[in-house]
Amino acid sequence: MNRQIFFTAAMAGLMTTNLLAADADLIAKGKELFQSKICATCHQVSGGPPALAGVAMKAPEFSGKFWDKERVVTLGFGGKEAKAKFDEAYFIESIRNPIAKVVKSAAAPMPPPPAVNDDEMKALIAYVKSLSDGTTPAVGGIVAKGALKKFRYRVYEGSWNKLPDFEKLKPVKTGEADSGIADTNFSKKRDNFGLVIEGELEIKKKGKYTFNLGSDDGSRLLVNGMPVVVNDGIHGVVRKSGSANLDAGVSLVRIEFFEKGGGEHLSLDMSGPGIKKLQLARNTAPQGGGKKPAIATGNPIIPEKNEAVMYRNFIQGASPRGIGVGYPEKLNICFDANALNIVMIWHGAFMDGAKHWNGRGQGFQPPSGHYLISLKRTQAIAQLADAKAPWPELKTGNNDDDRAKGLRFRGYRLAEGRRPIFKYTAGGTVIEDYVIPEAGALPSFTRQITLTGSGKFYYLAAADGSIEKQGDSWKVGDSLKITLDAQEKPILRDGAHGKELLMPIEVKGKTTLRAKYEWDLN
Amino acid sequence: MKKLTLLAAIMIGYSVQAATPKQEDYYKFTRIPLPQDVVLEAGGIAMLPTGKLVVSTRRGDIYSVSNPLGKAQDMKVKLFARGLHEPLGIHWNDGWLYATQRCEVTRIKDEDGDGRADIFETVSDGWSINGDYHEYAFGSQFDPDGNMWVVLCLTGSFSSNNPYRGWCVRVNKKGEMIPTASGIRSPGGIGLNHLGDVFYSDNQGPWNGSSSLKHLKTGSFQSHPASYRWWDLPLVKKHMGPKPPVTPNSKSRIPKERERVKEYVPPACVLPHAKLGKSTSGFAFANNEKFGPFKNQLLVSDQSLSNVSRVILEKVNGVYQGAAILFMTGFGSGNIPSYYDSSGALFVGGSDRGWGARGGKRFALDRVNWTGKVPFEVHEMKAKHDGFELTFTHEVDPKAAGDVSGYSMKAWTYILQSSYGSPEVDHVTPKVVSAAVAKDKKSVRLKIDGLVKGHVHHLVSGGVRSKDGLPLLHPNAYYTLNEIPKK
Repeated sequence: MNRQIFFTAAMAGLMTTNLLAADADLIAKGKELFQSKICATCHQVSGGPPALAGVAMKAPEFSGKFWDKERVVTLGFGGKEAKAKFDEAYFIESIRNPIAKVVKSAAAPMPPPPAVNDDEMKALIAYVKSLSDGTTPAVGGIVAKGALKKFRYRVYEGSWNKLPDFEKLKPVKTGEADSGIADTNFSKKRDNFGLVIEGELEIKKKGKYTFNLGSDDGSRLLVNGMPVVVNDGIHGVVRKSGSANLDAGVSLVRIEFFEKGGGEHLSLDMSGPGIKKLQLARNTAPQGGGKKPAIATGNPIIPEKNEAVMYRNFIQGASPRGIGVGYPEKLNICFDANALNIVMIWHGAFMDGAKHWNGRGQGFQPPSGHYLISLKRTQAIAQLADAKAPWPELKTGNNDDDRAKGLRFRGYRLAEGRRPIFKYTAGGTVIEDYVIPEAGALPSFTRQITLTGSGKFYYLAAADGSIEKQGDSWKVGDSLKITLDAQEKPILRDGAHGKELLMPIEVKGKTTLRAKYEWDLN
Repeated sequence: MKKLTLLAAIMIGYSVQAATPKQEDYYKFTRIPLPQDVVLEAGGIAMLPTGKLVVSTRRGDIYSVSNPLGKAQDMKVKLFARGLHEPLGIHWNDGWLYATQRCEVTRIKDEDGDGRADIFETVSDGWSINGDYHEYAFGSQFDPDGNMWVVLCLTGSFSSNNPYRGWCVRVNKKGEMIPTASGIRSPGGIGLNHLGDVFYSDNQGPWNGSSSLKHLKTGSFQSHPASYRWWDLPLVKKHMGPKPPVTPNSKSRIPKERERVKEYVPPACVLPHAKLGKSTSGFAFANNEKFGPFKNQLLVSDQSLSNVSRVILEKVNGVYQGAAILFMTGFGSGNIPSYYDSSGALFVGGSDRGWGARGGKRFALDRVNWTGKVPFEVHEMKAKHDGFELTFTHEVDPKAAGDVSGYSMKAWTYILQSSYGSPEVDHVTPKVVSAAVAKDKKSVRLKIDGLVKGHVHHLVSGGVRSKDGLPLLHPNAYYTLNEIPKK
């Protein structure tokens, strides 16, 4: 069956490449895009880092045989059931318009990923397709067949300072791989593991062959049971070479490797009669040695039972004073103690501590989950001279530490279920800011702000390029719906950077305002 | 008969030497057992009135340890609070647990008494951060005037990119922040001595030839001029005067620059790099005799070498100075905070994340108790106009202690410079010309030719023996001679 008959005219641009003959470079590029376009945060691939965000969403995994297989989908989220075949056309449609056909078993539709252009799409297709069993990628490169035949590997866990006697240890994982190239990626752990890789190498000409073995940490190469290169001990990338006289026929190659901590590397190539340079080992593992994953993972921070969890650290998208709150309702917010406002909201997985909890912890970590909406990084409450006065602005560079004007942060207290009530003051007026989440396929929340004191205040319910009245609610940007419970009529006005939706509040004693925030993906 | 006595003495000497005293004879370590899911990268330690020890972690948690003074198997570690930003320094005061986070000083309370904190009040967030990993903040306990002293690491090693990076500020309970001292580089701990004077440790790097313990005086300058950048802030002007101190010259020496920069306070005690440590961190002191005869001496930790040194300070010509002597080794991880409980227990916690430590564990919390046996040590080392006076924890053998050949001294200093660290330079070899043992045999007065102002004086008392024939457990002492006393 020709899968190309599914192509629509809009996708015709992709047809020029025969993806069956996709070259390794394209697959390699696709693998990088799979990280950078955040596919990897939800879609688990075999041997890849854990796709934690996908667990809550029940996102489809890309393992086993999935390409060309039929799957049950709904037309629109929660819509009519239908069947769809996983092919290029379906793949492209799923990225361009995720809501069109949603895998039935998923807990939520896929959020629209960052824009994918046609060239990137080709690479992503090549990579994802190569993950499916039963596809036969071309020779050479990242998932190509290597030279090692009858290829077996064993993975060990442990912390060593030099190569242990693996034969006395019990492997945690064994397997056969048809890739034919040794790869540290056989281990799911990136630290404190060891590998034994064995395979047969066909030697066509009798002669002297040279092997270059590079590793971080230690490694050893045995050919026909004899050590040829010994590169043992704890070290950074160290390359050593050795040679062996081999007869024509089959030679048994055995690579032993261990990694304690930090950088990780394994490479092996050989040369000799009739062989210029043949790659026998590599490391495609996402960490150490080479490329780092787009998002640090490995320390997911998960709300417990009915309790919220907080993460106060450098959160990408907030000022250096971000305070993340993950609610068990799968709703997450980032309160910014500079803006004194909620500056990001998202669904699913909350945060991962991996960036800050490993090494010195430099940098800002992005939220883990999906459907991230960034709200304007300015203060929520202000006292204006009049309803026309401009809303106070904050410097919002990644490293700016600019504070809300006329307000002071006072901390928070934890209410039932360790849900924080943030507190800040405007002179003598105390403002308490509380989020009440609501679970569901698309979780939502009500923001409840209580002001105790006196004076005329404004609440900035939304600031965005577009804000439109929609029934009793307001549609803000592409995907947010806000419903206000106000004592006074809200004001929609033109601000410095688009529309602003203000709620005036006259405070005498205690005044509470509520605003409901819902994701509106239609 | 006489011969027999001599023989017996020799035999005793031999038998003693056969069993060389070890640290374990005097101080007993108990490692606090941790549940498997607890990552206790300790950043602060405090004792609650309930008798529970609380430990803050670099990951932002605070754990409580019940029965911390009892047997290890009876201790229970439980979560007390989560979601703080790398709190380094927690202290109990007036019914609140005060925590210094990267971003602010916070006071914390468990109001409903369920064992978990529920109130987190911001006391002061007056300083700035910009997302650099290096912007650590260490907070002290409150001083007698009700101020907490907070030292704020630079942005990295060399620069101050946001207000108050490289400053010491005081925070009072009203939430006011008072700029107090400039010139901070990369602190590793802060605290008070028994007199209420404040000290902090600063690490080897630019303008710091070696790690050291420094005295934080109001208005003082601590060596790294990057902090001058914020002198235009009205709050700085109000509390620190209209102009920053003179900028020290690079490639110079501390005594020389002290003459130019009148606010410059020299390190009270250098913990010589690679000799006593590589990263000086927190300290505590025993406020009683339950930890041996070292009352009020500062027990200063090192993160890299997982050890604790005794720092014995005195004031000469109004300037703090003194000796550092290795005290204990073998802590589990990279020591950061410590806490002394007046029952006689020293708690030292740590983490090796990001820098590595000799201890070997990723994190650990150790308790040290005194066995009641007094080690033979230099008890105190004091500067004299022509040498030093040493006191000992036991009576000495007057012959050995009175023999000048039993002592040797070297002295050196470090380049004061804007680039990273410094080698030891300007080496000299002061000569011990006489050693007079006091009548009570508990001290010796050393006359020394060639003392150098500003140098670290390394005294090796290798020949000294106790009256029982024991050598000093730690024969090396490093005295930072900022001032030579007048006659």
